[in-house]
Amino acid sequence: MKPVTNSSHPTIRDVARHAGVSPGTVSRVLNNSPLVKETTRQRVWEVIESLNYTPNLIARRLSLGKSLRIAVIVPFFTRPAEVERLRGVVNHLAHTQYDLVIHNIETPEQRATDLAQIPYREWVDGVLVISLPPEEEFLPRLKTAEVPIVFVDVHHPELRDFDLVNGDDVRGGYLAARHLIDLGHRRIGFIGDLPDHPLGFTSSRDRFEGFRNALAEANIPYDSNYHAESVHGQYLAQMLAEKMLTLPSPPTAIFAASDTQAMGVLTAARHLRIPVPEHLSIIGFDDIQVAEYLGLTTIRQNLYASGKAGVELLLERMIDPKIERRVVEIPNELIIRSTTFPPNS
Amino acid sequence: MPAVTIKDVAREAGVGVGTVSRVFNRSTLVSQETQQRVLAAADKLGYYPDVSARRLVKGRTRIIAFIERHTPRPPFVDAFMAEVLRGIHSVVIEEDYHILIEPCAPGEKGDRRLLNLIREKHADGLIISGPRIDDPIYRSMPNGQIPVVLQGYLPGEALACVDVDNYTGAYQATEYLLSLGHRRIAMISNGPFVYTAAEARKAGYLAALEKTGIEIFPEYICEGAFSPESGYQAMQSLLSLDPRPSAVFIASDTVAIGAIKAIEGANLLIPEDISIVGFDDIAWSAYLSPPLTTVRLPAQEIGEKAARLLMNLLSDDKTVCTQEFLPTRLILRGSCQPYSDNSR
Repeated sequence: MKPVTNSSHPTIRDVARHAGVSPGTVSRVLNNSPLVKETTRQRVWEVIESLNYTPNLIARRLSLGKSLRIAVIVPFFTRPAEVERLRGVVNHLAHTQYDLVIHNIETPEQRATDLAQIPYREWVDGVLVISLPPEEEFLPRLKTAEVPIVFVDVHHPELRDFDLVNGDDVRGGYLAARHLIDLGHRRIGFIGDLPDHPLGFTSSRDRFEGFRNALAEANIPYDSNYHAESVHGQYLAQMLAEKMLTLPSPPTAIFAASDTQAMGVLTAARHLRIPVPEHLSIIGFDDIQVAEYLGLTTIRQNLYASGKAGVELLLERMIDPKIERRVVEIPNELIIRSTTFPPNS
Repeated sequence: MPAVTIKDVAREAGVGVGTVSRVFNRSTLVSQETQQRVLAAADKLGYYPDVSARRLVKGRTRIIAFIERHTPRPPFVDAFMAEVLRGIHSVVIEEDYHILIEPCAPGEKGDRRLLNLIREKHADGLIISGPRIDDPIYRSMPNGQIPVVLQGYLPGEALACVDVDNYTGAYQATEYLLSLGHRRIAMISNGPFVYTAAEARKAGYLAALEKTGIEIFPEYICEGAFSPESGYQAMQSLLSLDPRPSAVFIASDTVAIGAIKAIEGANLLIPEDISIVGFDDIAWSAYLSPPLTTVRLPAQEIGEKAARLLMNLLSDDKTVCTQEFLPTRLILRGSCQPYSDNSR
């Protein structure tokens, strides 16, 4: 039986009355408060629906003093690994009352504009910055921003005042090279990103550093022929690999700075009819979802977990701005599949 | 003399269109200096913001919500989704709009989240991805409150939508296999047949077979579930049939990834023993081994068109809800070969 209300615009009081609860309880139900009994919650929702009550979001925001929204600033469209980080963010926020606005960044100008304009209470309650190191000049402003900011996959010496979620790219690079060295390889190539990307990405550079450390430890001299860099992408990595693999003395193993690039190397090997892993070992980095299906040996850096951890830290700081600063380390793990093998003697 | 637009002011002031818009909406997100510069440029060019337009704009969130209405966590769909979002983003950013991403998987929680979004006006408009026929949400959606564009197609619903021509794409893929001489052609769908895209692709497959008059085996039609695992299982059951299909149309590259694993697991070769055609042309299709022949969907264009349609609906109530179907393209790579009696 449809409850009767004498107004075509039911208020929170009408809902409360029909449900036999206080307006405060209705409000708690609307805000998904865990303090409400399940049976009560269901009863209130039934009334809300039958009365067709539409809570005034603007009023709620004003009374809560929140925008109920979180912004994520990320180079989303050009780097496949970021999609998986974002998936961790999206799925975790789905359990909360917060909406997620994405701000995609392709250029330093966009980053500057967005970092300047986003961290304001009127727009969002919190900001997640993924894989984008801020420029020096922005740091003072970010430190005094109105809303909390958490950085995921950002390595920068001046972020001591911010919560961070990071993976150790240097250690990951070291593990990758170590695996190849332990298998017996000595002619080992590296394919990664051009340094000095305008947005300041550090992953390839750091992974190369770890790679070099491992080589140095094993007394393997650095050979610049075995080191190639290009703009981040599958196809360009493929071109670099084809060049490297047609050298008079090609490497017997290649470490690609990302799984995306590793796929380019796999294609190059196929074009040149070089059997993998029998005549060429390939190891990537990230462990994106398709890696398993390609049988790609790689360094897992749980991308999904990093996005999720970022959201968790941000929500905690939004509830308690005085909480102590946290750094969450996402561990690296060597995942051995079928693209690496001892060198063919 | 042509009317001065917001773009002209932006150019004159050396800022983005969004910034000019914020100045005229008295947004607090603009610095004094920038405000002066924009107002000076507007003065100089003689630009007067349309008052009625501004009235319309007031009370808006300037947000478009992208609703994912698939079952939870479809893995590789992300790659396609990212391309669609890219297309949406490129259009909405021009109008100073932002994108919300909302996973609203079918079920009590997801349904509630979606209805709340609409009721509470978290966004000015929605693009809903992944419609299914049995989705009750369309009945209970408050009528006409905010514009909705479907990224996909729902027959019987008068909602605006942008979709690909699933039927023809599937028809062409099947026709290609027929042209290679295959007669025992199976199919694995992208998802359950309650999803309109899955149903349409099956219809295309069947139509191509019916045209040649060859026998259609019901066991040759399997249902995927958007995941590589479902492709693996479906292919395993197909491989156990006698006679075994010599070719399979898999209506999703993501599902095909699992199907390929099953074929390899049975010590069979692609394309020597089984030819396969996929669907979508996700980022990695060209890099699989062998590179996958597939049906390319113009993912970015889908996003662009859906966003443009939504922007039109937002700016003008009289815009008719149109339904657009974009053409697909068969991309030939290395996973098919002509039928031969020699395949095992």
